[in-house]
Amino acid sequence: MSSDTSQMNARGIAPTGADAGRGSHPPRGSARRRRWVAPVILMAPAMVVLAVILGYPLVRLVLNSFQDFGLHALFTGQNEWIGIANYTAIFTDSDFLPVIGRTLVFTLGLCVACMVIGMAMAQLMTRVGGFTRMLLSFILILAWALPTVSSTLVWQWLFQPLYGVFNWVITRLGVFGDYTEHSWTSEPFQAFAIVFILIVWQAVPFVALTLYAGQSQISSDYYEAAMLDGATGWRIYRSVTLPFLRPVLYLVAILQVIWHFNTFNQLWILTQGGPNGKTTTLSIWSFQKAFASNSFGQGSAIAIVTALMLMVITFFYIRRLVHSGEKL
Amino acid sequence: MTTTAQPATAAGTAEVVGGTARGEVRRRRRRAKNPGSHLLVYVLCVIWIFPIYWMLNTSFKAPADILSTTPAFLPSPPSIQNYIDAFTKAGFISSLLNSLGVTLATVVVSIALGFLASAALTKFRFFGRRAILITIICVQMIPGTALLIPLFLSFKSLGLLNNYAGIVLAYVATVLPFSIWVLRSFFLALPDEIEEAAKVDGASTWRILRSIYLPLVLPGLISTSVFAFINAWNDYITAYVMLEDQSKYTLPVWLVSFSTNEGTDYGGLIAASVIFSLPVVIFFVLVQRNLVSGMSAGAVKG
Amino acid sequence: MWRKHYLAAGAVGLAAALALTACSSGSGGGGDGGSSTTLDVWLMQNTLTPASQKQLEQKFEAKTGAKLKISIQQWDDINTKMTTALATDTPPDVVEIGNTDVPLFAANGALADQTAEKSKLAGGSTFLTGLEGPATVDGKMYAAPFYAGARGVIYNTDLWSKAGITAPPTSWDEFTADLDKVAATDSAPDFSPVYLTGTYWYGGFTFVSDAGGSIATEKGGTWTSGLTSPAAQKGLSQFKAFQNKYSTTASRTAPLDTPDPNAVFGTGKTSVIFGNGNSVATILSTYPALKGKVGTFALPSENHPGKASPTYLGGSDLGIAAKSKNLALAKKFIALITSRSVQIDQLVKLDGHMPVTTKLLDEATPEVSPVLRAFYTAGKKSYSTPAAPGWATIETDQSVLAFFSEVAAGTSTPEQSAQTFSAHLTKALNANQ
Repeated sequence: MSSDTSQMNARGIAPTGADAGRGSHPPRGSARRRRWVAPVILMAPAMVVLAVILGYPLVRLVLNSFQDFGLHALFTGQNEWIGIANYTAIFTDSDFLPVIGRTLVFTLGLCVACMVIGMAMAQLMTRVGGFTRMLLSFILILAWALPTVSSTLVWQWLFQPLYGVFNWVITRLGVFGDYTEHSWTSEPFQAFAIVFILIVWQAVPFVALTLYAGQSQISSDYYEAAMLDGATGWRIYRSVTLPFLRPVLYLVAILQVIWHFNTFNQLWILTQGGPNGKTTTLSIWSFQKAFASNSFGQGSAIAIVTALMLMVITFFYIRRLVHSGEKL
Repeated sequence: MTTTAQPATAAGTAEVVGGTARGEVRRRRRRAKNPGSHLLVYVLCVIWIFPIYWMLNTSFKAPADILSTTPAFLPSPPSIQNYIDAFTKAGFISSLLNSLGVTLATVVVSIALGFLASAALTKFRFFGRRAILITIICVQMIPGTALLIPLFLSFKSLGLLNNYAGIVLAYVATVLPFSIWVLRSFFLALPDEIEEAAKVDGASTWRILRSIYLPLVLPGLISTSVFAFINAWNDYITAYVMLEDQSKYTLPVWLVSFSTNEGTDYGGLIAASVIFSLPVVIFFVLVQRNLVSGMSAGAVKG
Repeated sequence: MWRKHYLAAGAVGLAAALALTACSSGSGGGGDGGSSTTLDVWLMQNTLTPASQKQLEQKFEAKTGAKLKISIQQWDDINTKMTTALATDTPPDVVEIGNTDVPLFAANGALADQTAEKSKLAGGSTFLTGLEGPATVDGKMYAAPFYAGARGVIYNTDLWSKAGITAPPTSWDEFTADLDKVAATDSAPDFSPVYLTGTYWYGGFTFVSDAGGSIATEKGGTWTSGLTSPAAQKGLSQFKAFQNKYSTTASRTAPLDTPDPNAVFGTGKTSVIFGNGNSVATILSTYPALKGKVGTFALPSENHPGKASPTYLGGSDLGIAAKSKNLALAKKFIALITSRSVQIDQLVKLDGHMPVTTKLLDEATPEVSPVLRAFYTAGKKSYSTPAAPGWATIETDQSVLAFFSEVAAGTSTPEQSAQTFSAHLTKALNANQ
């Protein structure tokens, strides 16, 4: 990544602003020059920021994962190289496989739920009047905008055993039995469930609004043409909406996978990975190694394993995403 | 070509008002909207608003009324004590201003950089383009907490600690990969003919970017700006670790001051969370207007 | 170099954005604090009242001629922030550290050794165990006690007198008999005579310690968990029995602060909570109607009649950053802090804390309001958490909360829970951090 950018900078700095504009003029200058200069100038600022602010720490992260990097190293600046010891420690840890399994199931469930609900919502938004749509998008943005720390606190409160409104309501409903003083976090499945609902509540607005913004870019000509052909509802959605939406859809799906895989705050605040470590996912594990046990080396190694796993999982889709919609 | 924005489409619809010949189809579409969809949307509205309603409801309860085994669905009597506590908590004004500055800077910078970079990545073909795209999406796969210490160490070497520029750059770097990717899909959705027509007219790349692409990808820019805003606005740990001076703290750091070793002032915290969420809502309402005008500009293409 | 890239970027219209970030960055002027006349001190939120902070700044300036720059920090994630700050070349000179977290920094070379000053600082007395213990690693003192906060029993005298009780109990049996009477007066589903969460590990270890158990012991540099010992097991069972009998079912697994115990107490949903002097102050300021109705006493011992149970002694220590460039000045500051004028006139009288030596504790007792005296009694007998960096692991990963919560909820027996937790505890305490 850094070599890419240095190349770009070398070329990017050369022309002044005015030159850049002129240099990209299509008919004049060699085609070669035009091809290179304009995109390099356009990309340079973003790439520099990414390389310096993310690239450099990333390199450090990789290096740390091969070091005995703890508090002592941090305070004294003396790092000891220990090869792949951090990695072997993780792989041989009896927690490793259960943690991976839990993370995968949790992520998959969340992605499916968020995508399905989000797509349905985006489609619903195109089918209702302006006011209703505005109301829903306003409510969605509220849910999305609410800081995770606050919404998690509200959740803690909604599901509070004694004072929570949720237990009160389902006890009143009478269908599920008496839930007075029922604690939702003392059993792993239920603990996961309330975190799951919270994350769906928080993540669906992003999916729905982004997909809706994408749908709103589709020219109505296509819909009208399809309608004149006599197509309705589901068929229009499949033959017009989905093909146009595909790039956005892939992107949103991949981002969902990445974000849900790395879910941290909600789990940490609501369950701390418990009861008995039964809701510990990779991100909680990485945090515990890095910040509770102060073994930044092992924490880094888990982070890298996480990223590699995500790359493998999303490889196929990212490839399709990169190719999709490109006519160049 | 009419470019009339529809006042009713405040939430940003793309139902482009086209020529009069389309009137018939439009009427048919109107009728096609069924009451079932409306009902479903209202059910979803209730589900999604409930936690927020509950938060507001709680925030207006007197401290003594918050704990109740029979939940009160309306605060009675309503009390603004929690809000008074929140507003008078030390550091509110300064952290509010700091947060606004940092967040707006993040939004502006990330939109500008994201727009330019995604234009380059979609409208030009050059060596390494796909590699760059893949790299920036993979960067997002590293768990954020793991990057904190390395980020701190590199900020230390770069002299960016205790410095707003550093914080803004950290946020920009966090949201850029996302912005570039989202904007890319908006760029890809644009028909090539537009660019070709402009080129025939002799427009420069810069002009095409500014006058043609910018308005057309505005919905994408709005979406990424909301994302950038929310990310920068909500961050606690980066701001807390990177900033040393109390006078530089941002709102989330202030928010945390409600929970101390001695317990959490839940009423104050919930009122503070409401206050904390307000700017995001205001921001959304503001960009919402631009979204509509962006849409009407987009109508030109139809 | 940075600026240059940015200017190149300006070519594509980023000048405005740059101006935005650049001017906001210019305002700070760099808070390096490395100057020889300013001492950079980090204190935690609510440690000093604004008035007390001002007094301290004045006293320091009068004594040394140097300026004091106090930055207030939040408790959330403080260890992460402290860790990173102490790793820089320009760390704060003096930092306040929660007493149980001191070993984390002490054992890793982040703090300067203060052993030489110890006897002078203690003023011929002895520091309270819970403050000095964790600050002493391998016989050296890496942080000086700053203030203490003992925990005791806080009760609602109004509710108790309704149950016909007029004086605080002097023995465990009397205490539980009183609670039974209180329980009989109110049958509301959310009323309980005591509100004690299962996660309240501070109290949990009080029971363990009272029964003669210990958290962990060190021998030849190796720590062993003491929680599986018969004595500790007895304490755990006593904790479980007490919690289960007198607190609500929901509280067995409730987090420490949701609902806020002060609020449960303040709204009359319980007659007893465990807390320190600050809890009393918070309750009285949030629920002014309780003025004159809040009483305190040290928790009577269940196993040693006539005595009080060992309390968890909270509080803070002051460490000097090993990389501080103002070492001499920092030592003068700490000497000032441990002096009578700051300990009694400020920390006790203005800030509601307890002083750090047994002698100062005796001197201060008559000065404080009767409601706080019980904490002073309790503070004299405290247990201390292991002086190993790994203890912070146990607190940060919250396994200690989960452990007591499991014991209280009965999801597994105290033996099983202690087995699992002990393995984790032993591993953490012996980890080389």
